[in-house]
Amino acid sequence: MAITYLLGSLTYGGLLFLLTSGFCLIFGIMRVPNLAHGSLFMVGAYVGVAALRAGVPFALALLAAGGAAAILGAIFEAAVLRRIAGDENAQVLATIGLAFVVGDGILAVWGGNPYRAQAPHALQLSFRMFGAVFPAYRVAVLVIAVLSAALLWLLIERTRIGARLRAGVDDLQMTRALGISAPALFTGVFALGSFLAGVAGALAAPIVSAYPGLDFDILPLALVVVILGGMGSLAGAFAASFVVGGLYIVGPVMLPELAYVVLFLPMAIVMAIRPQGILGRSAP
Amino acid sequence: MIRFALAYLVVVAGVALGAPNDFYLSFATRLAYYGVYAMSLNILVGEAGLMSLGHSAFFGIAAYCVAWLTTHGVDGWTAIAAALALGTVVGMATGAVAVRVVGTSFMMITLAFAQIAWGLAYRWVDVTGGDNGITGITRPPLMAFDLEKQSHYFVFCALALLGVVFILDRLRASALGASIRAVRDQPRRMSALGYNVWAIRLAAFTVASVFASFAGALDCLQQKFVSPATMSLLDATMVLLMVVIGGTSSRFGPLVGAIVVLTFTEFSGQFVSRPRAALGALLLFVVLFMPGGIAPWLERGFVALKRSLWRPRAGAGAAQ
Amino acid sequence: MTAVLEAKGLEKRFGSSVIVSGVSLRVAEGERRLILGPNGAGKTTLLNLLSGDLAPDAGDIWFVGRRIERLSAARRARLGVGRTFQVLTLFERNTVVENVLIAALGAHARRWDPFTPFRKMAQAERETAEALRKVDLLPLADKRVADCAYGQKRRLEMALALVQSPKLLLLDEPFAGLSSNERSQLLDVILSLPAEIAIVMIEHDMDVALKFAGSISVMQAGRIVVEGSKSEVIADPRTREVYLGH
Repeated sequence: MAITYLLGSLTYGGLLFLLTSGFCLIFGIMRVPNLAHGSLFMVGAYVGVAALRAGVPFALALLAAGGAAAILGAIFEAAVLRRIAGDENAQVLATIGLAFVVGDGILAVWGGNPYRAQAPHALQLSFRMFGAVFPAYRVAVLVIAVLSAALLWLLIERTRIGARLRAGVDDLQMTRALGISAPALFTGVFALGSFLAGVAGALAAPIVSAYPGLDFDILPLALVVVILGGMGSLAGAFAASFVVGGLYIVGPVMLPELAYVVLFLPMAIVMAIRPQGILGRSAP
Repeated sequence: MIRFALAYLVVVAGVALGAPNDFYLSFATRLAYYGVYAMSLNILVGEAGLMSLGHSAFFGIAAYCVAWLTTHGVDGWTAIAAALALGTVVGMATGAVAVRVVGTSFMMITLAFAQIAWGLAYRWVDVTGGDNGITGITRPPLMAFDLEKQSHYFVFCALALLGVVFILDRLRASALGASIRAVRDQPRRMSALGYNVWAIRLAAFTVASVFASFAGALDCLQQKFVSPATMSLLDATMVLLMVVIGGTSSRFGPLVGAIVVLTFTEFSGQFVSRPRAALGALLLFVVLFMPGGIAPWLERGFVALKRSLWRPRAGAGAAQ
Repeated sequence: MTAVLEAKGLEKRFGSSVIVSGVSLRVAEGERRLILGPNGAGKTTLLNLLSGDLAPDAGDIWFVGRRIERLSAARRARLGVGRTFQVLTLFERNTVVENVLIAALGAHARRWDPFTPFRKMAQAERETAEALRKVDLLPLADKRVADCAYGQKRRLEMALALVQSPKLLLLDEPFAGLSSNERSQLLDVILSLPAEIAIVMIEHDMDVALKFAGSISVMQAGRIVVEGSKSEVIADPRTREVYLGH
């Protein structure tokens, strides 16, 4: 029994990491808390299901989902966020606006019923180990999440693009002075963050299915991860994703009435005790 | 202000007597207390400069308080008083923690508290009824009036809104109101002048939560139903939209915003087929091109209209 | 001679850099102390330690005999410490008189009043008018700060610091960015401040700074290296070293 919960937590944690890694990148570099991140996840879920249903191979379906979210994100960043750069409040509000538009857009295209797809055929088997059942798909999700974490780490620490990203986080003005275009950097970052959210959504679809409201269901969870792990920190997001994944799976079982309290109280406590350390500006 | 109050009373009477049926009266009632709700949030967003994503918690907690008490034998007025008291206590407690930070941190901590409240409403089924909510609520008697009649309840809520407008107007013009705005604009300077910045923000937060609680109580009695939905993140963003679209620095901004948002969502079939997308687009438009919101623009139009309709008087009438 | 302000062994670190180290200071009632030093010497940090904007990592501060190093900036302000900021901290959307009024109310309990119109706060009217008179801004009382000239804004910043009649005034580069006319106007204001106020000023503009100073402390790399009366410090060869390298 416990092992099933463990696997569930790990899978969920993996999904949360993919989702929140995008959020952390966007916040880390652009200092925008992207409240449309859940919506981009939802776009990925719907596109992923659509692709799977149309018989597209799994890997391509994931890319299509990520790509759709990335395009949406890039357009939004260039057309909207860029014009209000520097005004933090306006940017957050703009992401809320995007979330509303995307939410209804999905309703318009796919209607109000949950939109389901099966896990890809190859992964529809399960293993029996230690007296518990392991659906291969869930293991695959976890593997993909960990691989992505490794790839992201490589990208950021070991490539030139990554170096530019890190430079942008450390000192944006200097980065600009060195001739690295900030607008291009920002659009790229937002697109990459959206891509990750879209892929996460597509991976999640066979498990949670795509449905209206998924955006605002998943967003608070992503925010908990991000706060616990540190708003711009990928490593923190990685660790926190699994903690939150575990709380989300196990919480309702152990403390049914306090399931959400268990999730959000740590977030509130962290904010109360270490607001500066994790998020930057506290009240002067 | 007196002229506004008189004009307002005329409009209220007109609506109460002339509305074709209860549907429109209900809508008008909701406009009234959502006006209170939006104005309460504007104390945080506009006056204190704190963007809250969790204001719906106070609305919902008060609604549940009234619902639970009235379905357990407590009379409606006592229930409302209890809801206000609860709102004050919860507001002060959560505010004490939340206003230690600003900006994104404040947004996240208010969101966390609202999610906790929502989660309790959703999961603590024994008390809250979970997803099914609480039903069977009745409105209390008020002297000669029968609040169960929608027209009477509408007038009650409309008068409540007027009262709130007056109170908040006084607050805005007072020393405390000036301090709240000053803390928003120059917190370091205010500290250097001896003001307790945290305490002032806490005062704003508490006042905002009390008025949101009042709105929630009115909502419970209007809908005769409460559910966790009013405390969802979606609803919290909706009321934020009202404030921003209407305009944070204009006195009537939140009211205008409430009217716009509710009209879009209520009459979604009729003239806007996708209310949320429309509101999202409107929000984007406001953020990009009209950061002060719609209300200042409407006010200017209204003033220009007045000027063109009335003959100029000696001494040149000044706009309000 | 009673000390209004006394600091001993003040230290402030940011990460691994020591910004202020072993600084001790004694300011008497009515003293006009100038703090000099090259950029990065720690002058503004020292001022922030004295005002309460920063808490010291080590050291004590006494203000009129009270230990204040653990008190917040707001508490110190209520005890009689006033300050101006290097970057203006004015309320641009309000009028000049409203700026000073809100500053004056900081010392009154009525600042918590949620009902009485702010502009009718008679309690603070007297101090407000007095402060505006001292900085020669009375004629501009109803002008919006955003519409004021820079020199006028600098004087307004001074008025905000003065209106609560502080015992100690901390001025952080009050002359920054002023034209020569504006400089002499502000200097007149500072020179005519009540004699009992102790003033500690950081300033780079030597002309005005030396006209103001009664005594000088020279800082370098977080420490006070020369201190004494104006003539003593000017004559001291170490002062030249600090500025010219050797």
